[in-house]
Parts: sequence; C-alpha cells; structure tokens
Amino acid sequence: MDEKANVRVMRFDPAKDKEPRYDAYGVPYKGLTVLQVLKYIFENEDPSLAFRWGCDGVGPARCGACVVEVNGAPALACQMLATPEMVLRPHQRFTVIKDLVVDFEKEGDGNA
Amino acid sequence: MKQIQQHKTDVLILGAGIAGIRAAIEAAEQKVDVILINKGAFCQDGAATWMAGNGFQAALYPPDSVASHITDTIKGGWYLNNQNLVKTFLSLGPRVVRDMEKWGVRLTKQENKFYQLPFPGHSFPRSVCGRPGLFLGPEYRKALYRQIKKRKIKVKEDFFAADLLPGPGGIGGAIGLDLRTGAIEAYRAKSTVLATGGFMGCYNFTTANPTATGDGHGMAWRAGIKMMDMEFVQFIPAAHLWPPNARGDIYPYLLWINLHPHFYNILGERFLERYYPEKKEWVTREAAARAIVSEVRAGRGSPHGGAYMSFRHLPLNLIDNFLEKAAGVHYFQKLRDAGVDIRHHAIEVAPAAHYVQGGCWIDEACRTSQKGLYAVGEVGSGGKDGADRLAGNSITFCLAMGLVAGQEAAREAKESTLPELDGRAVERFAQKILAPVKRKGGKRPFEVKRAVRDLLSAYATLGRDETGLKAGLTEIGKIREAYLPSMAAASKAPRYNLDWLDALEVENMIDVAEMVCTSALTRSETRGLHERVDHPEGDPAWMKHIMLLRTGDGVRILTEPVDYSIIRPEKGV
Repeated sequence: MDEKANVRVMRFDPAKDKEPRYDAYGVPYKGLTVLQVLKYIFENEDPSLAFRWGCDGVGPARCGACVVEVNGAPALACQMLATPEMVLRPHQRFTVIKDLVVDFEKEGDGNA
Repeated sequence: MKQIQQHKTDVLILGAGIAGIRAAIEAAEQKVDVILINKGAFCQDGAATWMAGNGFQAALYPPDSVASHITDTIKGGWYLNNQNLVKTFLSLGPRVVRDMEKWGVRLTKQENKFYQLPFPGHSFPRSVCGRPGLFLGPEYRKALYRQIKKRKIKVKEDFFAADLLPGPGGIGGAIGLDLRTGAIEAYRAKSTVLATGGFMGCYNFTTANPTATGDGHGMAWRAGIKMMDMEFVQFIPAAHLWPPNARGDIYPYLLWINLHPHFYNILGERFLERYYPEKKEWVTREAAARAIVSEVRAGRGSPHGGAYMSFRHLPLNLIDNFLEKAAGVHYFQKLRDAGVDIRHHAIEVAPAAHYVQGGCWIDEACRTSQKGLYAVGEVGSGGKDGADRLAGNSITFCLAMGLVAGQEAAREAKESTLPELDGRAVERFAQKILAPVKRKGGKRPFEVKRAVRDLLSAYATLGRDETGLKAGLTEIGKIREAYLPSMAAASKAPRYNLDWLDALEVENMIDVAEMVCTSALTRSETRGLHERVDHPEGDPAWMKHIMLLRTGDGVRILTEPVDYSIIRPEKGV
C-alpha cells in the first residue's frame, strides 16, 4: 500500500468549464482495481470527483457503468488492476456529463 | 428557494431494473403516459438482473405443471409463503418466457421446446437457459431496452427519487434530485410503482450491486407503507472470497450446481457430512451457508473466513470438459491471473448477501397498503418467498408481477384524476434533500454508510441472537441521532455530486437496518433463512408474518397469519 501510483484524471464540468483539465493524484494502487483507486481518491483526496459505477464486478456478467479510458484504451474500471502510471478519461464515444461520467444515450462530440 | 419543477404523468415507475421495465412496457401497452425513473444510467447501471448468468423458472411442459411449481415453492419456503401470490406469479411463468423469447432473448430450444435445466429444490428441470457460456443478464437488458425504445417510453436517468409524496388518501408521486443538474423535481402521478430493487448493498459482502441501498424500502417505510418479512435476507453460500481479484463473484455458485464440489474446513474435513449425513453437499443453499458460518465461528474456517470449495475428487477429464465449455468465462481468467487452477487448488468461498425477501406488503395486484402505490421486485415482498426463496424464482416474479403492476397501475391511472400535491410537504422534502450540501463540517456520508454496513454485517447476518440484534438497534439509534442530522457532503457541487448521493442513500440504509434488526429480533425462532442461534428450533407459534409500520409514535410490530388456501403444512413443519 505504501507505493503510490501517479494518476491523472480528466476533470470537466461542461456547465462551467471551457475545456477539460487533468488533476494528478498520488494514491495507493497495489492489489486495487482502477475503480477502487477512483473510490480512494473520492474518499481521501477529492470529494468532488465524479465517476460512474454499478455492479462493482460481482456476478457472472458486467453492467458496464464504470467504463473509462485507461491510458487511451476503453476498460471497465472494476475489472482492471491499477498500474503505477495511469491517465483516466471518459469513454470518447459518449458525451461527457461531468469528469468521467458520460451520457451513454448520446454519442460523443469528440471535445473531451 | 428556487421554484421546484413539477412533472405530471399517469404512471410513475421508480427503478429501471427488470421489474420496473416490465411494468413500464405493460403500462404503455394500456395507452397511458409513463415515466420511468432510474438512479443510474438506463440499462447500464448495475441493476441486479443485468449481471445474471442463469435463466429463470417456469413450468412449461407435462409432466411438469404450475401446480408442481407452486408446491415446490411453498415447500422450499417452509410453508410461510403467501400462497395466492405464489399462484399468481407462477401461473404467468410460461407467458413471460414466451415474451422474453419474442423480444429477442436467446433461450435454448430443442425440437421446438425450451430446454430446461434442473435446479435444487425443483421437482422437474424448469430453468430456461441460454447456450453454455452465454449469460442471460445482458440478453435481458438488450431485449428490454429495445422494448422501451420501441414504445418511446420516457426514461429519466440519473435521478435519485428521495421520497414518496402524499396524495389524496395515499401516494401522489415522488420527489428527488436530478443528479445531472442538481435540481430538485417533483413528479405528480395518478399511480406510482416502486421497483427499486433490494438492499444487499447494506451489507459488506454481497454478490449483488452495492448500489442496492434499499431506496424504495426507505421511501415506503417513511411514507407509512406496511412492510413485511424484513428478517429474511438470503446469503449465497458460495460467493468468491479468495483469491482477492474475484471477490464477490457468484461463479462459485454455478460451479456448485454444475460440478458438485466438496467443501472443506481448515482441518481438511468435509464438514457438511457432519451437519447433514444423508444429503451432504446436496443440501439447500441456506443449510450449507449455515454450516460454513458455524465452522468459521468454531475457528475452523478457511484462512480468509469461509470454506474451501474443492473439485479434486472429480476425474480430471470431467473437469477439463467443463472448463473447455466455459473457456470464455471471465472468472477463470481472474483465477489464472491469480495463479489458481481449480483442477489442483481449492478456492475459498463464504456466504454473501444475495437477495432480500422483505419489502412492502403487496396483494395479487401488487397494490401496497396505500392507494396509488404499487410495489414489485425485491421491494415488493408480499411474502411470496416464504422463509426461503426457491432458486430461480425471482426473475420469474419480477417479469410476471412487473406485468401485473404495469397493468394495474395503468388501470388505476385511467380511473383517477391527477392528484394535487401538498405544497408544504413538497417544500419539507426539498429542504431535507438540500440539507447535506447546505451543512458545513460533519462526517462524510460514505463513512456513515460504512458504519451501517458494519453493524448489519455483524448482527443481522446468518446466525443471529438477541444480544447482537439489540446491540445493533442501539447502534442504529445512535447513528440516526448523531450523524443523520449532522453529516455533510464535503463537495457542494450541484452536478453529479457523489457525496450528495451518498448522503441521500444513507437515510434509506439506516431505515433498512432498523427494519431488519427489529424483525429479526421479533422472530424468536429459526426458520428458513432466519437463523437465531439462541432459538435454534422452529416454533409452530411463529407460522406467521411479521409486519412493520412506522407511525408518529415509533415502530408498530404486527403479525399476520399465513395463507394456506392451496396447501396445508405437513406435520412437524
């Protein structure tokens, strides 16, 4: 738990921000999933971080709520083990609601 | 304060899981306006059924019959079921199977008949299924999503319904928070359907979505709706405990059904033989779960607090044949990542909260105790499951009674006028929703959530006793008094504020914890899923349901007799 990952997370509130920015966090990552890292940031570093999650990885099938892009590739945050260097941004296919939260009903406009 | 936006609809449905969607489809068929509200993204939100692997139960072909399915369900429920409700939903089983196939769910057929698998507790192979390796959860949601879109039903996503609103002589809609905008909105409805799911997320270890925080249970309770059977929570005996990267996975349960594993304690003893000399590993799920918990309590549990599940007694080619068929299963990839091979190693499993049987009292039309409110799915209990749900019946119930709830809510809407809302009630509820972001300092809501989960997991799990349940109730009282009025969202952002959402869910979790502990303390016997270590036997005097009502003076505990209109209990039950 002592070793820290360097996690950069896209922050964007289209209601007030002109463009996205990236915030950096140094957080534990060993033995944690990407979703557990996001929850760690929310609980310990930044209560304003917005991300989606649903099934938390239980059950035979997955719900898909926590899909994000990890270092440029789409992944389910609840299924992927965290690595020491991560850039997290919302899934590019969809429109951003806030930070990593997207509207799955709206195709993205590519501005994120 | 800003004017609260009011929406109008004929039928308001809270919760877009399988039951809520089925209700919406049926209400829309009756040509009434429907609004379907969901806490998360529509059909991509962790609603319990989306993660399902298996099919569901329906008696389709002779020699099986609905009568046999009813008998199995009532026997499995220790004769505590509401028998008329059981008959109502099981009679619709064949209909909902055909609907799901028609809507595109790929159910396996042979010679033009649905192929059905045997399940424990069922007299005939009754579970419709997909081809091996195909999970049906994603099939259900794809099919149901299309049916909602096809009918152009209005869906309000990312809306947290916080409370039911009073209407003339009953319920007149709901009020809540639009998570995307931070706006509080009220929905006036001629009829409202609660389909918010269970409260497995009130426990630390669950095989279900932790987002199931009993929101409908809390809302109904605070509105004075009659609740029942809250002591019966199902724990699945074989949820994955170790290796850690698959924690909470339900797949060991499928292994249990398909490969008949042996369970060992840390001494290498096949302990189920000691508890159940005849049936051994073939006992019902709750019996196996109780034995695992007893072993852990006696200090003989596996290193991570469960039991070893082993397949070493099986011929290697038998295991390999199974693994070949299950080649694409993600669970095995996780095991491989962790260096675990079930041909050689045991996995560790433990009981985890899986399903809840308690919720609103409902009748055969899904009506709750107040006019204008219906409930279905896990929040609509009605005593359908008795003391233990028969495996594979819950999706059948959600689909069948979702259909009924949709029809009935639409019928009532057609006969009613739109209720006027009580402006002062709307204002009061709105202030309550806003409070956590107005307050400064105070505990973070996620910490309060953790405290509630810790106490339910300690006191209201398998093997309960009076001392623990009383301690639980005392702690709930403290949390309610100390933290509920003072906790504060650290973020004050209006849009998609997870801290604010946590704060709103906490009240429901506290209400759920109080109901579960109160009912579990009241039922001073062991029956089905409810095990009291201080009352290890069943007591014939407790062949009745426990009902809870919240009144101005506190909690009223009532009991109601069991319906024996179809079968009477055998002697000695």
